[in-house]
Amino acid sequence: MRKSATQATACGAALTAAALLLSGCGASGSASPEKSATGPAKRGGSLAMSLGSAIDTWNPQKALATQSFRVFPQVYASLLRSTPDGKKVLPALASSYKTDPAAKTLTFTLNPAAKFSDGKPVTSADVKFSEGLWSKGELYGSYFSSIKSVETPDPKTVVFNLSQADETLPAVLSTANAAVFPDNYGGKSEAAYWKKPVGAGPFMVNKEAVGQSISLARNPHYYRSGLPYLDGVDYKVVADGGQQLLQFQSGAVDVVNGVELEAAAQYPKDSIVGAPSSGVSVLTTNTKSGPLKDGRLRKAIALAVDYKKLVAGGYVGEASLATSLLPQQVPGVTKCPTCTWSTTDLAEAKDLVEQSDYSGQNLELIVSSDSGPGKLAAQALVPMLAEAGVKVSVNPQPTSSLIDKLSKSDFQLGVITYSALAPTPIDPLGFLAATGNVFSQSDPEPDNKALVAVHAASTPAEVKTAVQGFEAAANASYAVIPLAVPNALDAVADRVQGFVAAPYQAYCADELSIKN
Amino acid sequence: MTDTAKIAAEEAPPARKPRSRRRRGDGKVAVGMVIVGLFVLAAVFAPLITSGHPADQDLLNRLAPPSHAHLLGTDQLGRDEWTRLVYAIRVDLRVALLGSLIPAILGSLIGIAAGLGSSWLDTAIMRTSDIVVSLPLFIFFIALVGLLGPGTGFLFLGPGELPLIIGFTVISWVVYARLLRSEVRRVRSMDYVRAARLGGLPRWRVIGWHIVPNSIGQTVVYLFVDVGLAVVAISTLSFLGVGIPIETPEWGAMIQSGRTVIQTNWWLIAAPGAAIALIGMGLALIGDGLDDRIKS
Repeated sequence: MRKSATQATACGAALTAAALLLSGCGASGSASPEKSATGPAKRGGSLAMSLGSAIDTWNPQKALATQSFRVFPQVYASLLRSTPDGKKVLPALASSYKTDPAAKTLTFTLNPAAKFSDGKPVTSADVKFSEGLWSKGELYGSYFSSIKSVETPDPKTVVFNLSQADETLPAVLSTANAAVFPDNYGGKSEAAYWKKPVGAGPFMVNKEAVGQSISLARNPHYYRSGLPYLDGVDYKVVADGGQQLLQFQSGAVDVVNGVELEAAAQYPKDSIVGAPSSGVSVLTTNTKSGPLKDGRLRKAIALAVDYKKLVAGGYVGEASLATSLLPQQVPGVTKCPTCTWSTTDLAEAKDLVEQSDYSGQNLELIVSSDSGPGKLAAQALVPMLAEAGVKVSVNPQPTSSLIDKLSKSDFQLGVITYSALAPTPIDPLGFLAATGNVFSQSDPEPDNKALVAVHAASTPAEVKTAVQGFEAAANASYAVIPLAVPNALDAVADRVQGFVAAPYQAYCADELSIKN
Repeated sequence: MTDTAKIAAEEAPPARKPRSRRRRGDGKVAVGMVIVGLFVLAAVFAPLITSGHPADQDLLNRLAPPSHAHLLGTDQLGRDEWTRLVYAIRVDLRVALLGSLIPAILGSLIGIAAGLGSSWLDTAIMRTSDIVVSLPLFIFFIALVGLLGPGTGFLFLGPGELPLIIGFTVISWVVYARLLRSEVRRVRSMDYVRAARLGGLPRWRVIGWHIVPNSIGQTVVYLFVDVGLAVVAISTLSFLGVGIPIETPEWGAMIQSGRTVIQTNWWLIAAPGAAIALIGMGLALIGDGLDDRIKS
């Protein structure tokens, strides 16, 4: 029951938080492209980083803003951490874990070096307390629905009793949504704790000017010996893309988190670090009212789009073709063999428009006016659809209005980018199910069926089968049309060493350092 | 020639040098008219001096530099910048003109009523205008346009234009009303108006023949300045993403979209920026010149 109750809010989270970072620290793997190390890392110094907007809360269970999940990995640590490519999990606060499919348990042995920034050791009681917060989370609680109970046989051992074997759980446990907090908030009141939280991440909160800046200082008790290299990280909120560029050029900012795609070419070429994001830009249609009730018109729209040109122009070349409706970077998501996503056939599109009930009226396409690549893409779609005989006008909306219109089904067409919040298909599937397939109000049955199957999957093959079943059903309805997979870009100054872009735009700053 | 005629010719005053017909302000008006006229001509003959349609995209030729094929290069969607710049004149001038003319007519009528009506009517109008003046202009516009939505156009107006004109009307009538009210109050106490009244002329004739024509001068001057201000306001609102639909060629929207590539394709901002400055200057010169004429 908890799952269904929480899904509706989780979807909002996935939409507004355009992409989420992995909380796992320790970018020890290799990711390309990256700002690779050119010499031995030097200890000391601090870096200034820009955030496109302020963090909305320090509580990961209530956080919606993407920017919050950029900051969390610096302050919090989880039982596991992810490799920079987001495909494998590594030990973190837990030095090891073992699964017992027969007993349906997941047992963690905590790292003896794991301590919170106040010097107190991380114990099994802390994990049990934290799991209580995760499961009760209004936004992300459903990710932990397979955890039935938590046992703490000793201070360094935690046993998760599961309702079913859950292939996706370790990945979820490597995110900031599964950050470990001190038992009973370390003796503080809940409100006091979330004002200035104590975590086991590489840094601790030093100062915060709400909505403007956050100053983090090195956590002297960090579990990874010798890290972090930096003495501190200073985040400042710089909302305007032009300002971000100017501050980066002047040296006032060392790292721009989330460079606007359109502005990327203005940055020095070697400063941009990018990776395919965990998001997908989609064209969603209102299948319950208006001319888009007609599936033939929806299919015509899908076939009228020249996806290669759209990627080149609408996404300024900073995207790749979408091969699935679910974010294709997410482990377990693969191209469905029967799906025809990103296929163009103008002749058939014209035929379908002729056959449909569409009478040539203007269709309004809403898109966020605030940020993101959608605005340009939406404009690029207009002449493509016009060529097939579908008249469309673009109406940019502030993100809040956009979400309001989408959730009230007060729209005809919408371009949005939704992102996975964790490296598991559970998250995007949950988002799609809860939003009636990105607010298109199409049949949620395939989503729910896939969700159940993925939760119950014990092997990657079972996950793949469930996901492909969903993709085939989504492709048949054309209620939501994936347009492109936009890149996630960061700008990193030359003096920064050790930066590795992660597909979920999240990186931990523990291995960042300043060049000699 | 007879003696009489000779004497008359000798006594005739020397022929006067013809007085210059130029009046103060003529130069400004002329320069202003040339600038505005060029813009109007460009708008009228847009299809002849541009290539293609302003909405035509060439996604594989984005951000091309200025060339023979594209005088001002191409924008983020491969649209010809020169074509968009020229077609934008139609949109900006149309909305600015109507957004100034309608409130000018409405405000003038209200101003005349306030200036000639009873004291309670004058008070009511002036207090109402105080309220309108206190409205934060751009917030009001954003709210109004959001409320009305862009629509699909009205008569010869394109989508998004009518809400802007309504917004200008709601806000701008006040200036005209106050201007004309004070002029009317000044003129109505002039001796020639009193004489006309005492001479038994009907009230409507005194107003129509003596008061209004002698009060309207400053309003006409301000109208030209107001059109220029309206162009700037429309561009500002479009820059903020309010009003004219995003795909419509409009100077403010062009500056907005060029903002992100200012360092590599600065002309995408410079060209519409210069257009706004030029048309504003042209209209201001006309207004200024007319003002000089009235004062001289």
